[in-house]
Amino acid sequence: MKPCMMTFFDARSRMLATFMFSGAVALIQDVRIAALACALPLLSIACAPPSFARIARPLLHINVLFLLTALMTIPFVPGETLWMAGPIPVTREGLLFMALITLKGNAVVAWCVVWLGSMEPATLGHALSRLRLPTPFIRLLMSTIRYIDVLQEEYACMRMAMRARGFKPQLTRLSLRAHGLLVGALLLRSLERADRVADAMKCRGHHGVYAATETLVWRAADTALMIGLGAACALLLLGGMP
Amino acid sequence: MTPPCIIQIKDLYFTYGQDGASTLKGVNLSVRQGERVGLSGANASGKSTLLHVIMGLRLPQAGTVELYGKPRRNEEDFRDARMRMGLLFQDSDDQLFCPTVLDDVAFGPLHLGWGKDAAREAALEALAIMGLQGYEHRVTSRLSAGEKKLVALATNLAMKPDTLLLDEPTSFLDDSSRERLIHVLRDVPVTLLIVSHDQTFLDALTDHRLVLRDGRISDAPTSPGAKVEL
Repeated sequence: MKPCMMTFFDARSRMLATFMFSGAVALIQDVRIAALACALPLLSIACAPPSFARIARPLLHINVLFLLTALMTIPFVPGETLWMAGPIPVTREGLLFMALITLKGNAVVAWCVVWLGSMEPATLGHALSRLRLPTPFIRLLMSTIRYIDVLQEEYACMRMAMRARGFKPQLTRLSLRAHGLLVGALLLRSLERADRVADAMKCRGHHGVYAATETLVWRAADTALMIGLGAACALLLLGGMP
Repeated sequence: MTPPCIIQIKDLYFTYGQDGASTLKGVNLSVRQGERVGLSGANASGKSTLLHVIMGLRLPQAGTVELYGKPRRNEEDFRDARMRMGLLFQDSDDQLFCPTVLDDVAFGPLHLGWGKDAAREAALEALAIMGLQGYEHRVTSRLSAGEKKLVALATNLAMKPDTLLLDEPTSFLDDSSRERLIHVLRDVPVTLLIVSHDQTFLDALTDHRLVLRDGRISDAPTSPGAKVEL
């Protein structure tokens, strides 16, 4: 992973900063303050620009989702009608509401990409463990990171086996049943694999505590980050809460 | 003086599920310190199950398991033995559960309470033994099946076991990796119990051959090309 300014900070302070920023942004109710909140991740991007793909892809995904949400939300928010899109009224309140959640969503995703995107999964797990998050939650997260590819491969493998036996995805009862069997088999295999992984963990002395090779060091800069960001979040909340 | 028994199994019975089909029906096995035993048998004859029973991952319905001279009956008893024994799983994806190679190999030492530096050092040493220098930060899920197998063995070696149980260690390995594995296993001073269908691999590494048939263990017929030198 390319070293960047964010890696200078301790993984725990980066996690806490992300929780703090996300929490504050989630509570903002004013669209102007939400726009102002976007300045913080933008400032972070200016200090440590991530690669274009790293930032563009998640933002594209989330904005497509917001676009779909807008189509289903704006007509149902009552308020002053600005214009009619066919039979559907577009209200001022609806547009403001969508602008608010779009700005908040973009701010949080951009922040996560910049502050957590460069973090190795193992470091993330270790930081969460040191922040005393429940071990089952951490194990779930780490296992997801590790096994998502394996699940995908198993799914692709089974799909291939189905295709090799003449399966064609169609909207028929037979095809839907085959899909059901595929998902069922995938779940069953995952369950069996989970048992085997638990066995492997036992063989290597695991009794429920998550340990990592890395040493985390909390510096003065981390405290400064917490204080600075805490103050910024407090200001955002003062201006943005109703 | 006869070396002490590391694994001693008497009249072991193990059945899976409710269908009553017995996998192990009165297995007797003894492996002494320093011995290198090869175990073969047909598919679904219970070879992997036997290794899991030895590690205490499955508890038998009847019979006794003694490891390092002590009877082992429950999880607590086996936990102590697992600190000295390594098991290489048949499917490496089951064994490698951490996101990166270094975390996976250091997992065992860390959980044995060795401390971060010692665990890291042991992990790097085990990777070097397997010829996997530079793999530390590789993402486990993106390794090839053969690489995963070698990393899985490194996870065992990092714990510095005195006994290794290997379940189909040569599956997915190409010729050079297989040869490396043979050289590594020849050099490590451990007691070995290898389950494999690969007869030449067993010939190269083991000095005693057994076969599991109809739920029981017996001596394997002597193979004509025993002890192949590489």
